[in-house]
Amino acid sequence: MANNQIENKIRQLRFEHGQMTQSALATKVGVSRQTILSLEACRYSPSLELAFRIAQVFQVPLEEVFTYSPD
Amino acid sequence: MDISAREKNIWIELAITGVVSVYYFYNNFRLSGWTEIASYEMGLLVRDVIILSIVASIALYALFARENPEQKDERDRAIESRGNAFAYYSLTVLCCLLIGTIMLSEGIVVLGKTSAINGPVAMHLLLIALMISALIKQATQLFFYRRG
Repeated sequence: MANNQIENKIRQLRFEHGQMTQSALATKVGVSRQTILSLEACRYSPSLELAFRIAQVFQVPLEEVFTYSPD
Repeated sequence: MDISAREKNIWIELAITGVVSVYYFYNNFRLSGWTEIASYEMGLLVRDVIILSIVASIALYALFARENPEQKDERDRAIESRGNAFAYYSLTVLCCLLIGTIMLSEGIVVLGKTSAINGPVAMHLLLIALMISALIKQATQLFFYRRG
């Protein structure tokens, strides 16, 4: 759970989807709001399953939500 | 402070572990200097510790943990497993230290007495090791929750 190289656009996508709250997204994907908070801050890398669930909520491909940028 | 119900529960567990441990070891040391175990006062102390744990748990949960913690998600489980791993490492190190101390202490002056570490002292040292590992588990979990 160290600062990682996986970045995401969850925050941006939430705002593009009717300013969805962190709590609303958390409920939809079945995690706590704190987990969404950690994900947005790139302090936690989600499991593949959670990543797919988030992408599904926003109806976009996985790579539009998450990007991997190695050094 | 933005704090989840689960994190709040860990703070409460940490407080209870700390209070009960300090109470037990302070009174135990005052009573017997850790070298005796089977006495009437020790029995009373164990009873008091159990009552204190129950009362402290009820009081702290009633005061601070009114909402039910949400279901554990994958991040909670990851943090919990980190806490368990740190606690396991610390318990292993402390047990190895204790084993080494017991082996080396034969005939060496221990706690002001000329005997080796006896059963009650070993038991208390093991209890301290368990208490420390429990504190390390809870502190580790809180560290990762606070870090975000």
